[in-house]
Amino acid sequence: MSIAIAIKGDTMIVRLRGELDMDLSVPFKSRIHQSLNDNPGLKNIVIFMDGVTFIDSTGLAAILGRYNEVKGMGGQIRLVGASRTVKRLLSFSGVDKLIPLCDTEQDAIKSLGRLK
Amino acid sequence: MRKGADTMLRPQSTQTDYVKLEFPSLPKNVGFARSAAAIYASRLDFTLDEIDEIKVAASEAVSNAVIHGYRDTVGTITMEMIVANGDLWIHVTDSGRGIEDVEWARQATHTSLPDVHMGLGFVFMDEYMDELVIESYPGEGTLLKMKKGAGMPKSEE
Repeated sequence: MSIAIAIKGDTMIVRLRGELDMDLSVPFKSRIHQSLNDNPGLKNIVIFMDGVTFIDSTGLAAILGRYNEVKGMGGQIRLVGASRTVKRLLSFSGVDKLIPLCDTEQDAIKSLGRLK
Repeated sequence: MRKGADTMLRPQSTQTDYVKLEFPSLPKNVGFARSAAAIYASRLDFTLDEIDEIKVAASEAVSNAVIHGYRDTVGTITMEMIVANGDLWIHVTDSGRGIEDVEWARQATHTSLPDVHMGLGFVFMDEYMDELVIESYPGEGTLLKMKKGAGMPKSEE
C-alpha cells in the first residue's frame, strides 16, 4: 500500500494504492492532516481511487473525516477513478452525496474551479 | 469469562468442513482475515461480486472486534469459516468489552466512534450477507455469525 501526495495550487493530489481499511486509514489520515498543516492555503483534495482495490466502513470514515477537515477551510474533496466495487460502497453509504465522484483529474479540477 | 458463556460464545466447529484462524487484534491482521475469508469462500459457487461482499463483511466483523471489542488493548480474535449445507458461515469471536445494546448498535449511524467507521459496520454485514446473528455479553465478548448461501438462482421473476 502507498500514499503519494502532490500539491497543485490550493489543491492536494493524493494517489492511493492498496486496500483502504483501518490499517491504511491511519497513515492516510495523518499524511493528509500533516500536508494541510504544512501548506497554508491548501484547501481542496483530489483523491485518486483507481489503485484502491478494497474499501470498508473504516476507509469510508477516513475519507469522510478529511471531507469534514477541509470543509472547515472552505475546501472540497473529489474522488477520481473509483472501481465499480468501491463505487458501490461509496453509494450505499451515501458518501457520494457529499463527495462527488469524477472520471478524470481534469473533471475533478474543473469542478473544483467552479467553486471559486 | 462467565461460566457457561464460553460455551455459548464458542463457534460451532463440529462441521467437518471448516477452517479456524486465531490472531491478535492488530489492524494489520484485518486484511489477512478478509483475504482468508475470500479464499475459503471461493470453494463454493460464489460470483466475484459475492466474494467482494464476503470480504467487506469479514473486514467489518474483524474491524469491529479490533475497534470496539478490544479498543485500546490487544486481545485474541478467532475467525472460523464453515461450509454447512452448501452455505458459508463466518464466525468472528472476541473476548473484549461486548456490546451493551445490540439492537441499538445494529442501526445505521449508531456508533460510539463516528470518525473511525461511520457506524456502518453492522449495516454492511446485514446488507452483504444473508443472515447476521450477534451474541454479545458486556464485559465478556462478542460472537458474530454470518451466513451467505452460494449458487442461489438469481431469479428475476
